[in-house]
Amino acid sequence: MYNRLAVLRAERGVSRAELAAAVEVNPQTIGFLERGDYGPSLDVALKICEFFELPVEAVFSRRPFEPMSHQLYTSPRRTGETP
Amino acid sequence: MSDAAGRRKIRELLEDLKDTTPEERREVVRAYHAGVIAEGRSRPVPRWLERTPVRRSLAVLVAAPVVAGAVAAFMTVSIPSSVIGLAGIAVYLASWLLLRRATRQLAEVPDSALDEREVVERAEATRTAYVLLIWLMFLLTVTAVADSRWIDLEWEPLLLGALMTATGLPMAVAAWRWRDLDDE
Repeated sequence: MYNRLAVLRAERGVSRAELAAAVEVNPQTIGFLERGDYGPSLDVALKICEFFELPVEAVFSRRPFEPMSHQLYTSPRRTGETP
Repeated sequence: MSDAAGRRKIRELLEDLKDTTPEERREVVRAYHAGVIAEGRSRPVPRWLERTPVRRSLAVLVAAPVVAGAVAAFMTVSIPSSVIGLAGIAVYLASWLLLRRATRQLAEVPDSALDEREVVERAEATRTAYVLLIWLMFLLTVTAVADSRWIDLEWEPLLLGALMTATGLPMAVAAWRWRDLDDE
C-alpha cells in the first residue's frame, strides 16, 4: 500500500507525534506507515483521512502515486488540452 | 515518577474514590493503571540499548537458564550446580530487565496499551516463541528418552532452567524482531 503521509505532514506542518496522537497510534507506527513498511487497518486509514480532511484515494493507493510536481506542472497547456 | 510522588498520587486517588460507585471506582483504577503503563512505555530507551546487535545479544541471553541448567545437569565436575544455576538466573534477570526496556514492555502490557501495529508485532513474536517452545520441549523429551539408557543426569536444574527460559521467549523474540525507524 502506498500513501502520501510524509508529503501531507510536511505540507500541513504536522509532526509525527501530533498525527499519531490524533489517530491514536504510536508515533513509530506513523513512521512505518510513511516508509511503506506497514499497511494500516481501515479504521486507522479513515482516521488519517479524516485528520487531513481528504478522501481515501488522495492519501492511500494500491499503486505508486504520481509525483505531486508532475501532477502540478504537467498542465493541460503543455498537453494541448482545454482545462 | 518518584516513589514519594507515586505514593501521594495513590493517596489522592483513594481519597477521590471514597464517594464513588463501584463502576466509577473500576474506571478510575483502570485509568490509573493505563497511565502507569503509558508512563513506563514512554520512558526513553538509552541509545546503546536501541542498537540491533545489543538487542539481539540480550535476546540470546534469555537462553542462559536452560544452558546453565543443562551444564549443571550433565556436569560431573567440582563446581556446585547451584553456582551455575545462580549464574544462569542472574544473566537471565539482567537481560530480562534490559529487554523489557528495549522492547517498551511489548510482550507484557495489555492489548489496550498497544496500537494495532504493536498488537500484530506481539502476535507474531508469540507465534515464533511458541515454535521455539515446541523445539525446547522436543529436546527435553529426547533427553528424557536418552536418560537412564545412555546417560545419567540431574533433572531439577534442567527443568527449572527450561521453564525460566520459556517464560522469557516471547520478549526475546520480540526484541530479536524489533525494528526501529533508523533500521534500514
